[in-house]
Amino acid sequence: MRISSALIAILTLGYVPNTQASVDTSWRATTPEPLAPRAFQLPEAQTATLSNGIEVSVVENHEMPLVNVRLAFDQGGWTDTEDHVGLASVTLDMLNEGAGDYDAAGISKATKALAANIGCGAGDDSASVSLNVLAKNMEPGLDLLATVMLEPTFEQDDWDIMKMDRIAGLASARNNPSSMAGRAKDRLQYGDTYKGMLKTEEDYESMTTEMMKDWWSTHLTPGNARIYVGGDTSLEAVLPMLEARFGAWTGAASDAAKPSSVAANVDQTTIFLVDKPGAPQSVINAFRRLDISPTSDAWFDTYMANMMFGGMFSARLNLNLREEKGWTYGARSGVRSDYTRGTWTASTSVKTDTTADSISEILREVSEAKTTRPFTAEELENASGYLLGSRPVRYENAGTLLGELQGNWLYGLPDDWITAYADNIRAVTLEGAQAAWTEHIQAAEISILVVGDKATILEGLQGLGLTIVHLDSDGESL
Amino acid sequence: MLTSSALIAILTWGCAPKTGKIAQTNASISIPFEEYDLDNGLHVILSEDHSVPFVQVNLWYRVGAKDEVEGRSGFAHLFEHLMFQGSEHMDGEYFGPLQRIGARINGTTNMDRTNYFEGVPSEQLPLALWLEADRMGFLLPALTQEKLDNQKLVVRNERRQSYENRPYGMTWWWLFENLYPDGHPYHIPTIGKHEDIDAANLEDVKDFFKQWYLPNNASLSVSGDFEPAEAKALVEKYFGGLKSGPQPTPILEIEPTVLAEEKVIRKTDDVPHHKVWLAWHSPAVYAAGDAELDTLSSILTAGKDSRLYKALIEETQIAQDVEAYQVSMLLGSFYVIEATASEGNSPDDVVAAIDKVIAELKASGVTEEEVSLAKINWEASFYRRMQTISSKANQLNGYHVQTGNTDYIGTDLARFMNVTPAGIAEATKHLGAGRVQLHIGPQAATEEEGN
Repeated sequence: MRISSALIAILTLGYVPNTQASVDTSWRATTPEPLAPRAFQLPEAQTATLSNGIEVSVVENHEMPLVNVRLAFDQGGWTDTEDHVGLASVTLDMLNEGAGDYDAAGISKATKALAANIGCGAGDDSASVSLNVLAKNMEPGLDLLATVMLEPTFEQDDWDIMKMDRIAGLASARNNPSSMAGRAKDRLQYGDTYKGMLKTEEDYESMTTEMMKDWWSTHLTPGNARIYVGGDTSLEAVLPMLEARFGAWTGAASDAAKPSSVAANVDQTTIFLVDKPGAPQSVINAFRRLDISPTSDAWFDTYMANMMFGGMFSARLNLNLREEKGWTYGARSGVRSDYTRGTWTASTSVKTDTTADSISEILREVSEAKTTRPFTAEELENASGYLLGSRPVRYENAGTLLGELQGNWLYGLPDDWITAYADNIRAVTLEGAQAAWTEHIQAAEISILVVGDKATILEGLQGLGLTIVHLDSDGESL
Repeated sequence: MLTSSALIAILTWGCAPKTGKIAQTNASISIPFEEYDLDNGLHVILSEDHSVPFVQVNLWYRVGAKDEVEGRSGFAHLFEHLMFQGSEHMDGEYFGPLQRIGARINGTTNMDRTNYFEGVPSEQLPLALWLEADRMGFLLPALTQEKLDNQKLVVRNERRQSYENRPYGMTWWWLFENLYPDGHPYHIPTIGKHEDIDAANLEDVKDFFKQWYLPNNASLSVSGDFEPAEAKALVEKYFGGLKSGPQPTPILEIEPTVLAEEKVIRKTDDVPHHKVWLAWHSPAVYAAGDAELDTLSSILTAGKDSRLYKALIEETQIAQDVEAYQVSMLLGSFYVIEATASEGNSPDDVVAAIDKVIAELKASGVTEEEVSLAKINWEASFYRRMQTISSKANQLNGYHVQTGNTDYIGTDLARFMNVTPAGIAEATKHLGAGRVQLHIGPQAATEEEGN
């Protein structure tokens, strides 16, 4: 074999016997000094507005001959009604199934001919229709994007195929321990609203292409849209191309009100158990709702407190459950936010026979961070060093800044959110983080969701002295 | 603006005619770099990219799960975990000192090699090189039974999380053990058996380290924002004094495994649907036929105009999903077509439908247009995957270690650009009667099948 013999040759030539006697290596114990720091310049976006009012942001990056164009909408699963949960998501997926003169195969083939990707999708909070294309193919790529966006056909045949796939996907979601945990957690956290409405067979069975067409025309409008462009182009180059295809598009912002804050789901710490017979591990999600959002004063303090607790590999939670106990492959916690303010979640998968002990340890860590083992200055330095040091490389591609700009828009963050981010992290004091932990996270009421082998773990869980609520695989109380 | 310098030079471009007719493109790509060997045999690759103040340090060791000894499956990967637990001059978790300066750090083990990497702010290049050198040269003085015991538990939990507690998570296990006979380097997947992981002892760790973790069995790739003279001096400072050792001899060639006939394996598990996998032995990565089979995968299942999508989903809805791909490895690869039967259809019906498409393929071949469309997208995929400094560092190392030619990227792209329908017809011969057919279905449903 040609390759292998080449490799053997290199190895053979590479070996030079070393007969040196042992030498003093104590100098190696000194941590090297860093080199002179190099300046980091945040990339900048240029913005303009199409004649119908759509704001366009462009971040240039000419390293690769690629351009990404995203039509983003502040509309998503949050607009779904309880009778047709999943309508937003299905509607977006259907755009790619037929548009203009193209059927699904036609779109696929036309996309390939341009070395492009067209992606359509909706999450809970937003939706997007995106094009990634070789720079030289921008014009025909945008033609295709415009066809998919503006002329979808919503054919019944295509919906029949997608419906089959969606319904099969529900069975998968009820079978996979991680998905089971995700569904049950959403159900518990959001109740009958927003992310708490889980998709079911009935939702899909009753959905019609007419509903999709309505949703598309009501929600995917210029009034609800922004356009984000990144890569090997410029505002001057792309603006006329966008104007030609999307400038005459009409439609006002929809008047649906976004979800607002949701009440906490428990008033005392409670275990919620979903049975997964025979599971070798238990998926554990300990979570609670926060009464703050990214625009609250305490946000960065709370964020940093969590970083020290479980936001990185070398934070307390993982060092305890993985590196000390060996009960898991990993444990993390995170502070997140959406339209309804923030949530805090600690998550891990642990060996089945350590389930109850792991929950005890999580609760002990939560409590001791307030009492006997408050956070230290070193932990705070580690956390801010991690966030600030790992930041510049995130901007090596245009997508990061564009994604952050989109986040600012969706969640109404201040204009200087991105430029002030580093200073906001640096400004967090140990006292501030400690107070935030005590006030916003360390509190009695935590929900502990467990997906695991009930027959094996129930007795241990009962020994924790907490209320146990049994749930089915859709997160409903049994 | 990040940068305006084209760090990956596109040397020539073909033009796509505006008529929409597909033309053969003729593109080429290269990544600038320099390379040299230290006296102790460590290979060094340096590739500058000043787009952000960041530098990626990437090390490949020529040892993987294929090089494990009998009774120690999973050991190469377990060993990789121990490399993060401290070394003589930095005895503690490597994640601590690296995360506090913002490093993105990890390691991976596969059948053929083990790699370690950390991306750090430019000014922290000395710290990254210091730590990589310390564990290359001085791991054992810091090794303890306690660390080994802990990581054995962690790795066994990784096995539970990533394989056992995931629907269809044991697929690889069943494919490898049926494709490769007992004793073959690829018989057991990288994660290994619980009992073998549990049996690993300190002597195993010491022997493995002494045998494989040598500068003359490693390649160091540094990409990003550094000054070459400064980087070279640092590499020499930290790695230059490490001792080389007897040249290791990883397995690089083996008599190809031939499946004389079809092996049908039926498994039941806690899974929601009936799935089937068809797997054939195929040429080693970079060998003749490798690019042809990858191109065939695009023709079979990339997009809704692809052959298997049309036959199994659009026209008959016999399957929910279908995917073709190649698992590319040094000693030989395998080609996989997997599909999920849709409600009311049996896995055997799905296999019959796939076989019909393969038979047509063998009878009539693929069209020029199909090949052209696939090629255009393979070309773009090279640009897409070279968009980050970290991926460039790893790719340069991979090319060096696996082909002996660090500058292989242009040749790699050319392999795909030179694929022809005739070449695919030739490669399709690999998809013959000798194969593994694996079914995994839910317990109850499989029992009902006997009705």
